[in-house]
Amino acid sequence: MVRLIIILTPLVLLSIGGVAMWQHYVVDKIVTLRAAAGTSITLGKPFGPGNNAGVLGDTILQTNSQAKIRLSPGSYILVFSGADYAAQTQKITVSSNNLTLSTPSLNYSAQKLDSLLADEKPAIQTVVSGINSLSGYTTSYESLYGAGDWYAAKLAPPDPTTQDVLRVVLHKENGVWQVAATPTLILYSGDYKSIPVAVVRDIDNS
Amino acid sequence: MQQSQTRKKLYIAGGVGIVGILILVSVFHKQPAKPTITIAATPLSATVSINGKRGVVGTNIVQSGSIEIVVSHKGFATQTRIATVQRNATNYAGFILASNSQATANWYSEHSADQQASSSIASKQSDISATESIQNVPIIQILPYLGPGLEYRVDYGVNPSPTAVQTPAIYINALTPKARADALHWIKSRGYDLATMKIVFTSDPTTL
Repeated sequence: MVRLIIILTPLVLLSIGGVAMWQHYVVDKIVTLRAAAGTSITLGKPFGPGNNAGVLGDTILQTNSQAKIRLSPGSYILVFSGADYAAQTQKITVSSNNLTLSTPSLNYSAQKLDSLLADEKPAIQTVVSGINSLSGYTTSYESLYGAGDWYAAKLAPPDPTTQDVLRVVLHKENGVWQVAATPTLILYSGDYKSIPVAVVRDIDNS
Repeated sequence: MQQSQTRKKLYIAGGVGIVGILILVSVFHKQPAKPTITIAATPLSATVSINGKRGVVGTNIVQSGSIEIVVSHKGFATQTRIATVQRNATNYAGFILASNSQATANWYSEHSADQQASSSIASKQSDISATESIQNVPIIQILPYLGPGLEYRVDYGVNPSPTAVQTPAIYINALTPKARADALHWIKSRGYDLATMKIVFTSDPTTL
């Protein structure tokens, strides 16, 4: 009996070790994270039951440069963030292949956009005031969006009893602000497919 | 010895039982239903092809996703439609071919079965269109709406956007800027997203 135990024990330990090695080197996949300058990537498990919430739960790894980690198959959450950027969440699924994930193009944070707007205002004002139909209109709401390359404003008329409140959208292309949606009462995202829906939604509902 | 034989029999019986259970599970395991699309077409003798392969007027087993349906009949204009087929959903496409020759000009009045089938298809298509309209623009369920003091009227109708003709547009009939602003405010106040609906403004005092 003792001899049997002596023979079986290493076999069992070898089997356990083999399974662990197989899990680590065959089943687990390498995930490489590459954070762009000024941003960080946080990797973690999804929060909540069902793993469909798209919300970060327990953090596994955080990097502001490059990092590699072996992960077992399943769903994970990545959060891309940075001081000047609005955090962006991405759900990933680790299955049969190694993955390399880099910081996508992030939108600026509201604070950063506000500070950018102050700088961009003179150039934007030149374009808006050049629109003939806007004589006497004043800006009642305005904002920059995305990477500071979209601008939308709600414009109040000089005589509200005879003139409508209008909305205008500008886009900065090659460093030059251009009218993306001429002044109109309301914008329909289906008519302006080149304008991000978030911009149309914000200016329509402001 | 006898005990050993009994144990052997038990092992064999257990093995046979497990194999039996596995066979039963594999036989009765429910295979996921393949997606189907029901195609209705008139004339009833029309020829149907799905993704270039022969189909039938009736139920067709297809792959889920986009499929191209072509319905043709001699003497009628061929119709081609891209349909989206979803698994575990009722997929339907109705076709009423229009005559394009003198020989078939009075086809429907001369073929009562085709005429009845055409009415049925038209009715079903109308129901589907109504359901899709509500899904796309849910506000239409509470329209028309007349603003306080008949200041404005919010209704729905044909979408003038060439890319969204199947989605109804919201028509705001209001005579003043304030009335238009109030109508927009009313839509927002009901929780609807203005960016997702085509809004057409009119100024017709007779329909307020």
